[in-house]
Amino acid sequence: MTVAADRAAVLDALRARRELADWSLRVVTTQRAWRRLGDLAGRGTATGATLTVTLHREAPAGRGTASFTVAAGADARALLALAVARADAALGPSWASPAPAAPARVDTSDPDVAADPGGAVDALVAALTAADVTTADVTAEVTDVELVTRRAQRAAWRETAVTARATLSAPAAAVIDARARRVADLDLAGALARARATPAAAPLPPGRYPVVLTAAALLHGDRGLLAAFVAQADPRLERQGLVRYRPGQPIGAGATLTLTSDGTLPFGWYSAPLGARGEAVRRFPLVTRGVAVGLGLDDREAALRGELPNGGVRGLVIPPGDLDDDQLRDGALVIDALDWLEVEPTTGWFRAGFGGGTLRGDAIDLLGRARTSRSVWSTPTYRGPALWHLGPVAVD
Amino acid sequence: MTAARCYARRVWSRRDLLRAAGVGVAASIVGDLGCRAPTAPVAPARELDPALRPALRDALAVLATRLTEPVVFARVRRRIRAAVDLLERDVADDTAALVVLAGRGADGVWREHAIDRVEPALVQAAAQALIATAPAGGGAAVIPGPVGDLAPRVGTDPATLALADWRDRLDELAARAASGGNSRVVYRAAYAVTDDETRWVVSAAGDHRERRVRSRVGAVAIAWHGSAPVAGAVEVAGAFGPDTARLTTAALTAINEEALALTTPGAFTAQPDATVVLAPAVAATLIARVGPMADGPVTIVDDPGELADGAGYGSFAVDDLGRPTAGRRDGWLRRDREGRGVAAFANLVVAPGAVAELTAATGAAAFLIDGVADVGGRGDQLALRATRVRRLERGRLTGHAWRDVELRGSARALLAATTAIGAAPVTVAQRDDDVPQAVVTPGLVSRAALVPSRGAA
Repeated sequence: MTVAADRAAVLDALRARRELADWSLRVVTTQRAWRRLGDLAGRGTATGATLTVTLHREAPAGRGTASFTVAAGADARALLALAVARADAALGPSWASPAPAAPARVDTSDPDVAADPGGAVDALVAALTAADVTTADVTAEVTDVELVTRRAQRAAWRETAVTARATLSAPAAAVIDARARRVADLDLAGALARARATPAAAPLPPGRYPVVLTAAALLHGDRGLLAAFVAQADPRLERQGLVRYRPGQPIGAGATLTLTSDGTLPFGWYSAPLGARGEAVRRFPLVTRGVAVGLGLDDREAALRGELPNGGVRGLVIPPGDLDDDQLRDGALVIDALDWLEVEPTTGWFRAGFGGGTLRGDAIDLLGRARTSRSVWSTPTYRGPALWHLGPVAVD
Repeated sequence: MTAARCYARRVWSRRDLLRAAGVGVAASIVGDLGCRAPTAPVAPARELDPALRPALRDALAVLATRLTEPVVFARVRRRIRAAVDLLERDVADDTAALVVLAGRGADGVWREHAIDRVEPALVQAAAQALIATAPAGGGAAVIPGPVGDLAPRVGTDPATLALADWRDRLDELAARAASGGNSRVVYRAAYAVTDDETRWVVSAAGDHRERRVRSRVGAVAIAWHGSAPVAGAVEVAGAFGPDTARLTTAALTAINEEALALTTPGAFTAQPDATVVLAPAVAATLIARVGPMADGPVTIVDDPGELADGAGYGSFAVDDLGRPTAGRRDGWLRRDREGRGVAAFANLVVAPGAVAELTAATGAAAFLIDGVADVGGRGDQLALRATRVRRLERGRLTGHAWRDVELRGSARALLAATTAIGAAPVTVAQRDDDVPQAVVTPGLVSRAALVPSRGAA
């Protein structure tokens, strides 16, 4: 059996079950190339495929949903029968699937990586070949995604990803950990320069310090402190009252933050033409001038709320501030990188280690009132100010 | 309700409750309880073997035409995850396959190719694909080494259990876990996760097949205290089948008491140099960060061999390059989910001490660290947020207990300051997503800085 044969068998089985209210099949085929320097040096390739089905059953008591992954060569009809039984036993409120959405027009594939993942890896490794780089691990991945739904919707797109992790001998085992959809966004030279330039900081006496975070520190490789807002915009949490965020209400006293989710950022890490089950991916506001506005809605949550799906929270866009970098940095403790970070999603409380100690505070409150720079910074997950002045923050 | 919880293949309410209560381990296991339809496994390893094994030997011969040190690795891992909570009972049965072909090219570069299917024709095609990318030259005729099979010694073989058997075991476990609770316990779950894994490694050193069974059996109870959920949790792990009886009723009862225990009003006062009793789960976190250590009061050895009473959750006899581990203490390689080589420890074992009751060895004032909510810090420096810290006076609990306390300092220094080692080692599973790892340690008494994790009051 091949992936194509498995796909055909699953689709045949799904189409034969006309009683299903809705279903989607997501076929993800991956090619990967990698190279390592230092420990376990070598190079390699890998291929793999995953077929995931989500189905919905409609009954007088409500709608039931089940999801399953098809193992290679598995009996699709038997799997489907099990899944239907599970959906029948898992009824929730009724909802109607929204009309098929047009895929968002978004670039998710670097042509150079797609054409030659091994070549992309070699190019990145060359950038990491330096005397002070003790280990390096670089991967390039090409993923073909196909989505087929019951409503005759079929979409296919290609995604690429490049990741690099390296350790430096000095300063003390500095680590570079970067990922992007295209090689040009990885900026390994810049990451190396920043790692080499990081001075060994002496521990600070405990107290409250005016703190400025660079965007790199704020994001900590992904969404960093902004992850608090991603969790706050989860509609299930919001409905259960488990988060502080209430649409229409200020996120905190004195908050001025404006934050938008954009799943169509070119080469954005979270960008995609469609959501996991074919729902639309759209740009939408999360917070506008300190007031909570939007929630990340998949097709079910959108249907239950009578709204249109937006594909959930993806890339984060924040308008630049109106202050010069020097104004923000003046007299502040400027932190260029965090060593580690813990953000409690439901409350927004965080603690973060950096060279001089540990920061602790309320991410929602601090970011909501932060003063930001006119200069901007872009990563595959973020477009926004390069500097964030959080005001006084507890450091110990 | 179930669909509402399951639609996004995650259960925010349940998962967040568990995480907020500091039981992330349970969250990873029961977090999407009831959300997945059972998947029919691919053919069991014993059925695959007659066709797969010759295919792996044939692939080795293909690799040897152009690569030196050729090795062919295959793994079929069946994971059965049975869980029950207040709302649902679920048995998920998933099988994942992996084949990795590897060897050294004429240019001296180590080369690998991984696929996620085990059909013989695809294995052959993968071998051809790998040598096609290798430079000409190199390679030498190779004859697979002698055939060797290793079967597990487990009390309950998961391959013999039907779906109903798993459900019965979990129901019995859940019934025992319910004893001792009251209406303040708002959430309760019990689970058993068993990996039934067969690995084949074919190289000039041997044609080795090894089947391993390992399990984690646990339970969690959560009570609400003011605005915060508080958990009691217990887990046993090791190289055994789904023997739910290993989790004793006394241990299950204790988690209800832990969840219901009240905390002391007010913030914790920082203790820059306190005597601390580290429960095995906390000690395991330190030990995993430090790795093998020959000096000092705590000797840590990485032992992949068989351990007494099934304690070796991460045990294996031959590594994923076909090298026997017997008589060696390091230098083995495992393969992760994607087939990448990982130089990871197997079982970090601390030799038990002679102190039966660690709290009695603490002197005038000390703090008992119950469990780990989150591990911060970098390298040797720890900033471990504890699930609960309890105050001891002259070896006895005083009734004072705090959440949100951080244990801070150098992991090595903490271990070097150890003054007493418990007599009863416990296996604490550290990683089970791809490369199984465990720390086998008793509790320890040491000295550390304790600070309020939300900052000074």
